[in-house]
Amino acid sequence: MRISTQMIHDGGLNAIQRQQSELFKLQQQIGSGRRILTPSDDPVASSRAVVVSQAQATAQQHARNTGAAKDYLSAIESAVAELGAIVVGAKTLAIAGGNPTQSDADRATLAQDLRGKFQQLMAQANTQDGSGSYLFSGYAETTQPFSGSLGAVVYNGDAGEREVQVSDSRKMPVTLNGASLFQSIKNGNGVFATSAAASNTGAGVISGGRVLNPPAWNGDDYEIRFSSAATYDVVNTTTATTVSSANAYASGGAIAFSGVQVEITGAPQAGDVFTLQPSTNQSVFETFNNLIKTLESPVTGAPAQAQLRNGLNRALGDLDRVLDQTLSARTLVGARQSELDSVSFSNEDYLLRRSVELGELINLDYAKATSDLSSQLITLEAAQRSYVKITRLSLFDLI
Amino acid sequence: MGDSLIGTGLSGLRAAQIGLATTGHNISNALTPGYSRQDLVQAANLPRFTGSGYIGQGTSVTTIRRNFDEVVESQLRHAQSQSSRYDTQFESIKRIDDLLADPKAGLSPVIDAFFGAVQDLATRPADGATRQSLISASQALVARFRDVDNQLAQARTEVNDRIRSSVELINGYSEQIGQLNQQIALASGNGSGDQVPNDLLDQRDAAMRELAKEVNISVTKRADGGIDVFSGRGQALVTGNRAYRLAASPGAFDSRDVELSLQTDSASVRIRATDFSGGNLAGYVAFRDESLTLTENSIGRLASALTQSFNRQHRLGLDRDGLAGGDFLGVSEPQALPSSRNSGSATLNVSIADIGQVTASNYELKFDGANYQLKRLTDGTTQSFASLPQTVDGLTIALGAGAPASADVFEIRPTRSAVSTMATLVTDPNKIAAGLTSAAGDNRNALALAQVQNLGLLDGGRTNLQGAYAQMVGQIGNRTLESKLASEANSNIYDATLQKQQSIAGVNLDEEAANLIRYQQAYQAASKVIGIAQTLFDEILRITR
Repeated sequence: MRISTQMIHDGGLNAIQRQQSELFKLQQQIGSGRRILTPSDDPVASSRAVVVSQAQATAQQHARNTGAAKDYLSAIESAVAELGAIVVGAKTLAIAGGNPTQSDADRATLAQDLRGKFQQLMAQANTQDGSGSYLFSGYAETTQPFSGSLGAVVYNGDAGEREVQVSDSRKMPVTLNGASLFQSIKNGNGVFATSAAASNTGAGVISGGRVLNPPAWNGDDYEIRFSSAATYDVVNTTTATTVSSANAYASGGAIAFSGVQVEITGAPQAGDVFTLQPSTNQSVFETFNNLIKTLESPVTGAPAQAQLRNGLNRALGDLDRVLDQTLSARTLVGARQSELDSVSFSNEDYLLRRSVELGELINLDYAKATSDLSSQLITLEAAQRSYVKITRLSLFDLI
Repeated sequence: MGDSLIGTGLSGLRAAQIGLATTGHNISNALTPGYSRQDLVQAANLPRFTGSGYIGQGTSVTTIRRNFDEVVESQLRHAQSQSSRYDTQFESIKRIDDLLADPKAGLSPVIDAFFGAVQDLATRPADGATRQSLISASQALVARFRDVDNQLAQARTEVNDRIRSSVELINGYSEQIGQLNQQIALASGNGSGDQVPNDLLDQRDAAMRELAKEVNISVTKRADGGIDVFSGRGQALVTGNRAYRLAASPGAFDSRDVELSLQTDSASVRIRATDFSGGNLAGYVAFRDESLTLTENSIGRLASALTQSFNRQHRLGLDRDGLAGGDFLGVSEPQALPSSRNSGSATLNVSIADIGQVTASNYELKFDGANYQLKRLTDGTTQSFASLPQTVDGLTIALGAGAPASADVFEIRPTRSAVSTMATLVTDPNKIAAGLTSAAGDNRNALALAQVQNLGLLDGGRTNLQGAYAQMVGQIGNRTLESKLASEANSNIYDATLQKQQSIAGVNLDEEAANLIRYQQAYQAASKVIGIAQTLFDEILRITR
């Protein structure tokens, strides 16, 4: 086959240009660390890389959200712990108030302490986080949840509990609703509450009572009416039926009916009435108010003594219920924090795997690239040298 | 006796001279593009009858022959057209490929940042800073979309300009070929049948090769030595001395898109751009009407899907003032463009009924007087309706003002210009509807807004936003790769064909050097013959002195 002079030159030049172009591409790959310079280098991998990058970005966002959620929950945990400490302090004062050596003035001092504790309680309920949002207002974070004074505390927030997206499938609540935490506390022993009528002339003291047989308790209101100092009737005031009558009274003896049991000690008189009602929601503020009123009432005579005792017993029971509430709250928050830890952990793992996957898709294998580079350089040099040698040969040099 | 010896010697001398001249011509043109090497066709002169038999009368050169093979030349032109077409396609689509390549410059990171800002708002809804950040992130998202849209619009302007330039070039070459036909016809008339003006023919072949670069052509010979050039579906670009002009005029639907027509004696004949199968022109048209349109439509579809679903969720919430959320983002509505050749006055209104069913294709709606025919342009499937409005592929097509006349055509572009007016409509942070109440900490709507990123919005509910974007990246990458491979393959075919052509017509300097020696020796020998003849004559003269 004939070869024209132009073909010899062009052929040699094309070979050199091809090698240079390959070399240029390798240079770009090595310089950028990426195997894929444009999607056409590997369309399938490029497409997948977009998806994996998005997954990475989402996982990083979830990690940020989880961090914020942890911050919120730990602020709540501190506030609830503080609340518990205040209530324990109040209990101590209530117990001290029951000491028979206390005078009215001593009790008034205790009441004054309690008023201080009430202010602390209000401050705690109105806790704000670092950015000024109230923790316990539900969704109304810029509104102070509790306002008013002793005996007239009002909740200004709403019933919401804010959630944070911590993973693709999990929205984690990061607040506790103020209304449920501070106001939805069952009084008495949690099932029912006992009290003595203010008009009692005797000196009977009723205990908090307990449930013996839960299925038998029917949730009705009951009254224990003393027909004489030694006999009493048990009346279901909801159905207006007498459960039992003319029972013999023994101080400290068990009075059982409808699956529950209470004890009355001391010396009631005829006409004294003690009531038993199913527990209702009573706010911690009301509990404090009741205790303060009890301690500030002057005590003269046995009936007043008995009233004091009844009031203090009731207050201690109610305060214990508040403590139960804080315990539940702390358990709930603890469970959420524990779940967040495990969400964090699996998120980190997910993020790591995505990073590895992305690297495998688009990163350059430096070992292969540098070895390709050296062989490419050799090829280029060979092309250049052969071009020079071949084109130098000419018959014109010999004639 | 010696009477014809000088003549014979002279004839040899002349032939050798012509040989040397031709060899010199070849050597000078060794690097001239399109040059076909020339050589002599020598024939012995007719002998003279004498009593001793037929005595030869020397030689003469009958013609200078151009080494040329029509078949190979035609193959070369075809290979050139194909190679140019795919090269052009590859270079054009590579720009889009590069646009999508950089992970920082593409659309996926900015979508991530936008939804990240939504999540930050959901996590800290009462914080004014997160609200403002969302508005900023949204503005950054819109800016990026519009930037990409601008670059695509620029690419479109450029490709239309290139089509116009290509048409100019085609017309220039056609003109040139027409003139050369005339010159060749004249020059061929001078000599006998075999004697053709080689260099003019070379020029004409070179012009045809350049023309083949721009558009695929087929060639037929005329009796007077001229050629006719045809293209496309048989439209004539050159007949004899006459060249016909190709015109690039504003498109019927969109004046910015160029459409082609051929100006014959009587009228302007519209040429469908797809009629050309090779050359740069075909490459530009294929890029403009397939890959570029696909990319613009896909990006517009992405923007429309994001806007629609985000707005729908936003409207379900309340802002800080307790009012229902309005539209958060805005995009342009689908376009329905009537052809400038329509005789009726109808306009169409097209809206998106279900973005999940919308494709990345444009549509053509024709009215034949009684029925409407809708064609999807990517695959050519058609549907027929008796009346409007109709809902097809997620689009509701309805008649607007005016009435259509028979043969009216409309082009429907569902998403191509969606991004051109894309904007963030909410600028007041308090107007972001993050909650279901107006409470500062209510983030329930924000949580739902964040989930829009994961919803199956497209392809019948199967693909989310970034999944659709990833698909588009893969599609463009594939098309670029295909163009690149086609370009390389056709380039190789062209190189092989060129080699064949060069082996016939190319000049080899070593061969020419050998020819120089040959003709030099022939010249020397022939002059020796003349010298001997002169010596003989001198001898005769000496006898008579």
